[in-house]
Amino acid sequence: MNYQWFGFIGMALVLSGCGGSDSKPKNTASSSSMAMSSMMAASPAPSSSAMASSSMAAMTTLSYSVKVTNLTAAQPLSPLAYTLHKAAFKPFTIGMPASLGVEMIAESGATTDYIAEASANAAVIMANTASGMTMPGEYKEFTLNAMVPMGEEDQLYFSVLSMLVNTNDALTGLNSIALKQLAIGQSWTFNALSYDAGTEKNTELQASIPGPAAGGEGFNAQRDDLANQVTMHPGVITRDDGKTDSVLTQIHRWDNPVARITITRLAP
Amino acid sequence: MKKNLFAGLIALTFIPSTFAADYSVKIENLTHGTYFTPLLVSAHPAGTTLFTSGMPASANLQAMAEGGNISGLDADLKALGAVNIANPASGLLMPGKYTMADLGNPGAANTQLSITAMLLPTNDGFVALNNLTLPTMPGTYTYLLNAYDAGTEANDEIRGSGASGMAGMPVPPPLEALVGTGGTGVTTTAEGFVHIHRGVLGDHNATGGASDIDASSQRWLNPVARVTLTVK
Repeated sequence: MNYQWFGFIGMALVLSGCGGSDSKPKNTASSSSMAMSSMMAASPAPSSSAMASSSMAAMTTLSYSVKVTNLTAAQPLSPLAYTLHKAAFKPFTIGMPASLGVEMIAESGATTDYIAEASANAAVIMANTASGMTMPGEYKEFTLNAMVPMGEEDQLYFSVLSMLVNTNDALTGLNSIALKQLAIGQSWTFNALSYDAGTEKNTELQASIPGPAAGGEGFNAQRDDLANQVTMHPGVITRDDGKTDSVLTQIHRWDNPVARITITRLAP
Repeated sequence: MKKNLFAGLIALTFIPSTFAADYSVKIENLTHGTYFTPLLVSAHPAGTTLFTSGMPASANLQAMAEGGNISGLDADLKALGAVNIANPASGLLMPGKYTMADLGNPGAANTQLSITAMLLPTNDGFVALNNLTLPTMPGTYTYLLNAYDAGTEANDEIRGSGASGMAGMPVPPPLEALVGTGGTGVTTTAEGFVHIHRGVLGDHNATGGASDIDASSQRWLNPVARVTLTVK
């Protein structure tokens, strides 16, 4: 993990409002974006199983604000799928096949399957989507409030996933960041890298890329990449660099990092 | 609090301990389609280095970077009292795969960690963790590794030799079916000094064009490897 931690103490932007549409009343989220006015995701209900099983335990509230900045030239980021979870859940592992939910995000940007997958896992405290695209040069912020059994605060991890939409199956985000050493008022900033889900060959053909550069297909269940495994992304070639059948141009190229992600722990 | 782990650097803010420590290393090939030749993992004394960026490569680094031959670097470091693990993956480390190297307690004098292997298909590209001061506080430490160019051979990107000073890329059996033929060559000039690799060019003509490398499947972006160091 490529990370830089800065002490942005006291600089958190605390966004007002809780997500009224979140069907899990004690875990709420809200988000906003530079580009869009109202951001509460009407996403599927996070699992309540973890909460229900520990309903006898005393609970404590943990609050975070997350800011994701798109560092690319021309790769909009799809809606951010984020989870607060324990170690037994991991969004993906380098060298292993992507789950269907991760494939869905990486090929189409759709988060429904991933949120359902995560919500079904007992190790996931909350799973949600910050809706709307994060355009190049822009950022999105959201807050999350989670009720966690007392004594389990040290077991929490944060993950967030998003597609680089002008690609076949590129994604970025954070994969299981341990939060236990993040104190109230502190921030950590990470430089997020680009991954290849390994679920779709990087043809760069118009028909295979769903982003605005192409308008082609998103998800396809077929897995035809070099190997069915998540790796770092090799970047795109584009027609300006000799891939004559590519729908992409030089503007769609990128280098790592592709996003900057800041997590701030708020006072509950 | 500021902590920066980029490019394998970690700020060591704690006081080196005199306690013995055991070290194990996990090395992951993060790339989409680039192979690592046999790795050399070494806990070695301070005062030596695999290479210095901006300076010409040593003959033994050249042999590793052009042909995957780690025997010279292995011998150099052992002569200094290093504890080395050569070829932990028992051959090539495939894209997306990992290998483990258990260094045990390398002794008080071996305070540095270096890891390297050639990248295939390239002319003289290699991955390296160079001369990291081993942490002594128990824990798990993660480092991201970049791809370097040894600067000893022109990046012609066509089939050739893995011997030092001989042009072209070695193409061992697993790469045979993945690397093209008939390329005319991308360049004939070696750079002359070690530097961060600019990446390969490649093309989409498997039987011609300038390069025998496939652009869509054999390029990479840094980082190319992740090292997870466990100190006990």
